[in-house]
Amino acid sequence: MMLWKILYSPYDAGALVITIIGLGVQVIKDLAQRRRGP
Amino acid sequence: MSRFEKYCILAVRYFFGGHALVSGANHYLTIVPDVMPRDPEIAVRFMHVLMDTHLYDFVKVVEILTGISLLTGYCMPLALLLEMPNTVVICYLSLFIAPTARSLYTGPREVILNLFLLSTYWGYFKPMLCSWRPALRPLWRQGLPERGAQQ
Repeated sequence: MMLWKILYSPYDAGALVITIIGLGVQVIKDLAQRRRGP
Repeated sequence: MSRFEKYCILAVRYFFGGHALVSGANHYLTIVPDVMPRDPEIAVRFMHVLMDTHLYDFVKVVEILTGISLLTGYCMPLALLLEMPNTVVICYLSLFIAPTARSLYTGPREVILNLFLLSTYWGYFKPMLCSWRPALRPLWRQGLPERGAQQ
């Protein structure tokens, strides 16, 4: 519980959501690029 | 650059940028209450002075611009450099002025992430940081060195 209080904040949660979405978009872009070929 | 390296840098970039954007935007939109130190008194007074002089608004504008820059990929070295003073002040307050269990973790984290991202643009900063006795290269001379000046 103490560790959770140290690690969690609404800003961090928002940043984490943005990170996951951003990385997801990048992975999809890279996969599409690889499928199209160089 | 390996794919792992690229995604690690991207993850740090999005996290730091996202954090800056959320924190900056929250100041104006107030989705969650702003995190303010409640003690010691000197930290409270410092925050009050920042707010009364509207310097805090300026800090939050810099955070928003840094966030937008890191998430869109525009002018990132400049944005990271502009964010560095904020980061250092946050870390100093967190470590020495108003330390809490959480701030001891978040303060150094800000500096480490900012420095790490700056290091990913080392090539842009190297000429500036490795010039110990630089010759003048003024804007009004198109940044060219004077003839015969030491390089």
